[in-house]
Amino acid sequence: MISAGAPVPEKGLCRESLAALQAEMVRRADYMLALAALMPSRLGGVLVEAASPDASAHLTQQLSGWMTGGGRAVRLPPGISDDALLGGLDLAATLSVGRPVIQPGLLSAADGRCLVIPMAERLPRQTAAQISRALDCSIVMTEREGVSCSTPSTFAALLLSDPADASEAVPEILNARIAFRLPGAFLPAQWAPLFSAKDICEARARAPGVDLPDPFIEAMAVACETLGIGDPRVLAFACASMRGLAALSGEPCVQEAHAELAASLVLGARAAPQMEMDQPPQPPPDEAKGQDKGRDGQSVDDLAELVVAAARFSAQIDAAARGKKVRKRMKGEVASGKSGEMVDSWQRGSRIDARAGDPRRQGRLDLIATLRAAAPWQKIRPRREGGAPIAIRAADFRLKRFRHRSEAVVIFAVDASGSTAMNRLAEAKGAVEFLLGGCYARRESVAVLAFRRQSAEVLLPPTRSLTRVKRSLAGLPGGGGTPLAAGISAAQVMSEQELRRRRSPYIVFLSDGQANVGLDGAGGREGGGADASRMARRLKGAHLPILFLDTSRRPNADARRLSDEMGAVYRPLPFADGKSVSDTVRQTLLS
Amino acid sequence: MTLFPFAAIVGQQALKDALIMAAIEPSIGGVLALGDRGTGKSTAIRALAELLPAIDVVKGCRFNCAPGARNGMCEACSKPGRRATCRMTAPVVDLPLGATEDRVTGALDLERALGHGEKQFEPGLLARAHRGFLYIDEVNLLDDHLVDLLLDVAASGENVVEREGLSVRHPAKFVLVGSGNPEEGDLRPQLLDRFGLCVDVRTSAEVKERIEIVRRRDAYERNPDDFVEDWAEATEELRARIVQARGAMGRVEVPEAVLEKAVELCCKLGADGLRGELTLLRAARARAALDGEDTVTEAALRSVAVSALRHRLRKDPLDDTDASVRVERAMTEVLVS
Repeated sequence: MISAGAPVPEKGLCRESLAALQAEMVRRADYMLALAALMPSRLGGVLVEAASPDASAHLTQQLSGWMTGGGRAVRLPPGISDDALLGGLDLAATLSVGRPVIQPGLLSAADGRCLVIPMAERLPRQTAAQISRALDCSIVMTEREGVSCSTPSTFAALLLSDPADASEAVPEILNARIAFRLPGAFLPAQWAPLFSAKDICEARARAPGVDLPDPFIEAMAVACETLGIGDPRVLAFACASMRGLAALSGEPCVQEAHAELAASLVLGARAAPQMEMDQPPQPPPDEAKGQDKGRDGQSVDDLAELVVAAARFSAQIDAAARGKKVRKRMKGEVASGKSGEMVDSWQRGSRIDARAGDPRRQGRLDLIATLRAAAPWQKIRPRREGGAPIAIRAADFRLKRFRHRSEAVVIFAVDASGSTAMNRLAEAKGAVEFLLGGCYARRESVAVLAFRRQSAEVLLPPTRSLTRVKRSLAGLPGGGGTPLAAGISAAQVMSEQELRRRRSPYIVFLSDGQANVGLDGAGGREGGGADASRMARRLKGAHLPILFLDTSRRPNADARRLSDEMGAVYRPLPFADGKSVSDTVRQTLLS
Repeated sequence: MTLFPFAAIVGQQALKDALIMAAIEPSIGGVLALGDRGTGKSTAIRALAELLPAIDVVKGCRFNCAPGARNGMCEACSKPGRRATCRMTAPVVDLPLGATEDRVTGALDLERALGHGEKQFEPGLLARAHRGFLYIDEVNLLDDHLVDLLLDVAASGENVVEREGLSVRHPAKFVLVGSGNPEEGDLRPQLLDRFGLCVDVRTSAEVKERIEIVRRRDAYERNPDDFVEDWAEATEELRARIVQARGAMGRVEVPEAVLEKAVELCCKLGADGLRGELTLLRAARARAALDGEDTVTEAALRSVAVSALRHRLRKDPLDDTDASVRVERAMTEVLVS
């Protein structure tokens, strides 16, 4: 009936023929959706990248039709609150009936259905973690505001993602639980599916009875190893897929063709890129071989080889289907690192939900949420004659919670050694003043570290006050050796402190890169340089946005190398003044 | 729902050991499992529920009070008089992300308040976890205010709730178990310090082991009940060992020489505070008890040192080696055996 190993249109692909690619992607989409519908709790679902709205709608409809619960898909609204996701008290019903009535959350409502997650790359980690947990346990646990219950829920997730660049990705916590990735750019708006709802239903009944011989599991494990796939979940996905594919094709036992197809569906998208590009892709052997019953004599290694070839070939198709969609980071653009991360706050940003709290200490009262919190308890609260019609207690107070981008802190690490120290410090001071002068609306803070003689010191702790800057940076001493390593280390320590305070640090170095004092305070170019490189490499590991302004007369190799080692953007700035430093910082880091 | 049996978990010896140690000696202070995705951290912890020996509780007590305890009982159980007891399985309570404070600490019973206009306390997750385990998956994503609350209760062993003129105080002593992926964000140092043992869970590199994992998982998914049945004997054996080790804990001696070594090891590593040494010794005693020995040997110390100390090392800017490696290195210097 259903052929599991339909021939791959490799010829069409070599010519990048759109039609062939489209046919192949449609075939994959069908298999992925079918498997996800077959065993949602084991495979999680499908992540679709860059599909058109029409194609997304078609995928949603198709997957919903194949799920046990049937009916419509459940769509996750962006920025969903915990109450809506996990369930909570249905206040109106509760008050009218006189006993707690639970309003089921979206995750329980999705039981037996398809959960569509649009803009999956923008999903907050918290929400992703809650969805992951429901996928893991097939149970939604609600412990919220007077409600304590757990309801079984098994759903297949359909993640729709359209990442603008590599930094936008589906939260890994959820990504790791989703078996399939489907590049959707070439999917047509509609197509006739390979399977009917009845096929899926029958396959579902057959799946647990399918025999999955050990050599297949072993071959798949070896293939994962060869392809550099470390996550054990992926192996489990591939094995479950083999079983599912056998069930779909009505076979009592997993066959080679199923292993190949499973590998191309699951392993392909995760295979580490292959180095040798001159070698033409090896298309997997055709179907006739797959049907070969004389498999007993075949070794696990042969099978593994076949599976690896299928996965590699699939990875190439994926790459073609993905096209050049993912924008490469432009030269000079700074890695966003941990900056700009969304943080929760009581003060500002976009509204997310309400939390219990004391309005006298922080935040703004959410009147509606407070009234809602107070409502169920009215019966037990004594009401005074002529008192307020509603009795509200301190415990009812709900505060508005907001989410905003974290605040930027620009940390200047200034080389205050040698004869030009005064110039550089003056530049830094000027830059700080310019930045602060122009940045009130942007709410940036600025800090200054200086390194000279044996160590680094904090001249100006993070501040937004211009007065403070003027006072603390007046009459700075300069001169002595250059403990660059100590300066780099101090900048990193301060950045980590700021990260803990939920701010986004940006580091600006003003130096010529000529270290001559080591971390231990001992002089010497060699030791100083080596320590500086070591600290620079350690700083790189923190993935912070860094700007290195080379202040030497002409750009020098040492500074350049050090800048690269710390993963910084390098700019030579021999005749700097406060204004130009400030402008460079704005253009490269804060834009 | 049938849980995957603890005894059937392949590999992950360090994590399994740490959990068993915490089950033998709750005062070790909890287990934190950090590491790679998909390594079965949650599976192992949830599976613990089936493994823990049953506990005696005062019948009808909603706070799992131990019969005959002198102190640390809830209000009702502290009153004089004899009470019937019953046995229950030791609780392993899941604290889900997104839980609100009132459900964690307990609050007024909404149904009673609405239906009968009565004020009655409804115990929360902390009460349910008393004398058992409290598990937080993705612990690094837990809201700050819940972390504060947990730290407070874990330190005092008591939960105090004041609401609607109702004042409730009940014991809440539990073994805190957390799991998470360090890439999702750092844990607050105070919370990190609360965990007695910290295990770095890694993906197994052994292909054979990975095949076995998949094979067992597949067997379990196909027929959970049969699978649990197949492992019932192994589970029972493990449970018996835990019971036996608990009984033997009191008899385990710590020789002066081993104590000195433990202190020296902590000094060498700059593990701040006394908690490191205490945890190290408690875990080593539990290890000895589990192995059926009556004195703590250096070998026992060695086997628990990495998980007891790796999260307490002072940060050294010059040394970015992995914490486990640093503990190992210090051990080769301090311990001779």
